[in-house]
Amino acid sequence: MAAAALAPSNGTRWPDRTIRVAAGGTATPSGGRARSPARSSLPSLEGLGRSPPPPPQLGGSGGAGRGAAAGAMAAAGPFALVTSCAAGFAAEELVKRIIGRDDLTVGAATRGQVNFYPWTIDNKYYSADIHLCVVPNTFLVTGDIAESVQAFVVYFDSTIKSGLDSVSEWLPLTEEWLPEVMILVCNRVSENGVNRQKAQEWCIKHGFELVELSPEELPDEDDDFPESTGVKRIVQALNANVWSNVVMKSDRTQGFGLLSTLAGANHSVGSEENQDRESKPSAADREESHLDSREDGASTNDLQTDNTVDPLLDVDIQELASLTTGDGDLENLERLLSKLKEMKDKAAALPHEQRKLHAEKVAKAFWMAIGGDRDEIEGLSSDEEN
Amino acid sequence: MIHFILLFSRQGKLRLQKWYTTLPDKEKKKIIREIVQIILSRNQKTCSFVDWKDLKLVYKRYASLYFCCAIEDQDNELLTLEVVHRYVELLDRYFGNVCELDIIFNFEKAYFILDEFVIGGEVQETSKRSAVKAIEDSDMLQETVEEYMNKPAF
Repeated sequence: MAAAALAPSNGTRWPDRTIRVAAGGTATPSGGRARSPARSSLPSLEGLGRSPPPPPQLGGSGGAGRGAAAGAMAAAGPFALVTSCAAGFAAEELVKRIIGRDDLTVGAATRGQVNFYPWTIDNKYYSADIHLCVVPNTFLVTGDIAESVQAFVVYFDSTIKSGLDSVSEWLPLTEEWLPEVMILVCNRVSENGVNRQKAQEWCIKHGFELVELSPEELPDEDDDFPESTGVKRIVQALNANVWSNVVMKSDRTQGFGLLSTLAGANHSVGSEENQDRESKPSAADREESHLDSREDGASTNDLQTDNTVDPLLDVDIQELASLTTGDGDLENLERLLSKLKEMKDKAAALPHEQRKLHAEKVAKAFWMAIGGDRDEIEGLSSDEEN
Repeated sequence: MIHFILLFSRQGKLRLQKWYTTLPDKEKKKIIREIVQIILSRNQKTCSFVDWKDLKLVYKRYASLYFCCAIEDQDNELLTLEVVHRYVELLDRYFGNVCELDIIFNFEKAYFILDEFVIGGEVQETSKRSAVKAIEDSDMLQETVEEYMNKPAF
């Protein structure tokens, strides 16, 4: 992505790029989950131990399908109310650009003069099926729409001085609803009509955010944390809201650092194991975990599975670690990588828990192999606890 | 010393507040409202420092979020901007490409990170590595304890 290339040397930028609108119209995180530099340097290990992150939904099948179903059952909330107070601009235009599709017919529903367009918001924390609800004027707002409005997006004509007057008709309603997200949209503020200062003052007074679709000045490319503008910003603001029907991604243990990457192989075992157990609890299992909790409560299970891991794999690991001794010449690296691939294939055949444990070892061996500091991984593992 | 730190969105929604002075809630709310308005109404190209009552406001916008600190007369504004930037760096390091959603859904982590970094309105930990490590350690502890509590036999 172009934005990534602009990343400054200090490695920090406020990445509005984490959210983008995919082709199919769902907003998705570009990485699927938080990434750290350390993790991205060990990409091939993910498949070994941890189940890979669920692929971000790229609209199309998932998003549109679900949306269509919801649409068929007469659009339900929550709504983002979209309206235009400019004669020459249809609110549908804005909807198309927010959803990222020109064809709005899929899943759309109509009630009187009000149109509902399904949209799935999907980012790294949650997904939510909402409807963009286009209401031409205040008189068409019905009780059940009013009840479910959680965002309000209004377009106005900034080229005429009275541009904001017609928006003001909505204020009594928004003041009653108090939607979390309120955005005032125009193409570009205009000195002959409503200028920036006037628009900004209006926004501050009424708790809106001003978004220009084609701002005169694009954000400074040199800015480490560029401000997003236009529809992208609208989508971003709609993402930064806790919708009433959010489905949180249950990635609760999602770790953010290297530590969790390495330790995750060990730690994420717990929850999944428990689920397995719930389905078929056996006396042996319970006995085992009882022992565990007496000892340290963390993951002594792994000790037992550890002993049963194919000894061949351990040999592999030693070999992997020994590849480190060379001073990083190309050939060595190649061997290292092919070794890794080989081990990954082998590990794929292992049962789930063993695979995780194995992944931890491989991760550590690989860490040593690429010349990582031993301190970094010391004390992370189950072997210390044991 | 820093009297308080506020993070808010372009719409003026408060995302994080940290107070290093004691004030009644009502007063805090009033201050927040006032400061958010002052800063949002400032032109993009204007100075990042504003005199406000007997304090100075130092603010910077990072993408869609404003970070604002109130400091005392004798404090250095440029140093405060660095403090703000360091906090952003810490967030970025911990979350990996931090964005507003991280602050919304993991606000407690954002507070923990701030607490590792600033205590009582003064910088306590200048090392990025140490600050993030402390948070990761506590994550580990939390995970371990949760796992322990979740053991069926427990």
